[in-house]
Amino acid sequence: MPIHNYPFTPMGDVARPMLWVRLSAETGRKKTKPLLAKVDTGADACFFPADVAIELGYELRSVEPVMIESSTGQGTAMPHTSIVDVLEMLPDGSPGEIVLCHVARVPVYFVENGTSFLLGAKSFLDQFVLKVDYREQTFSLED
Amino acid sequence: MESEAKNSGQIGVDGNSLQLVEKSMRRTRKRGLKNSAFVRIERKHQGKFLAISRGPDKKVVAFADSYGALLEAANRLGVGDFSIITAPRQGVLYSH
Repeated sequence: MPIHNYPFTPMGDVARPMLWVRLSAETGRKKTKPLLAKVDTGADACFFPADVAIELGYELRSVEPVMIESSTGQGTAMPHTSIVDVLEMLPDGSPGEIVLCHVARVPVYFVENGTSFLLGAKSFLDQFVLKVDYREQTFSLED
Repeated sequence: MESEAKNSGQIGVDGNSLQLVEKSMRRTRKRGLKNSAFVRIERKHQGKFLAISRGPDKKVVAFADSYGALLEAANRLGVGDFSIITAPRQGVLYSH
């Protein structure tokens, strides 16, 4: 389902394209709280802190860890297939209950000592046509 | 013109990695952000995980270095439902 004109989120001196998302385990039984994640066209995949995987009930080390590189250095991440639900943003900027978009089978890389929620290309952004309107400070994810 | 976010007091501290605070979101009249609420993030909290309680009295309820510690802290506060973001490093968090 496409997402039209999702507002940028003001953060400090800048406003960024970010989405309220809720991650679920592949079984769909365990879900996170709404998390505000950056839409990052420079990220190869989706990256979340390792604690999120534990919250979802994943055995973190049941998969082969992979080395990742980011702007802050190298790290270790464990990919676990998850579900990403994009939530509506209410007028006050908080997340609503309506799921605008449901993306299944996303390999989310859970990063040890990770400090960011990032939505990247592999199996998430590559499912859409991303349109960013910096003038109006909105963005769209279209099929 | 902005008014300072009110810090209504520290609720509790658990070691160095976890700090529970309660801050009100204040309305700003800053040009272009007329309908935004904001909270000033203290330097020690910048870049940390932050829980915001949901509902009409939107408040920042907890900061922590790790996601797991934040979940534990916010649940311990018993504020009901909340959402989680990473606190900006620039010092001010705006909400629409």
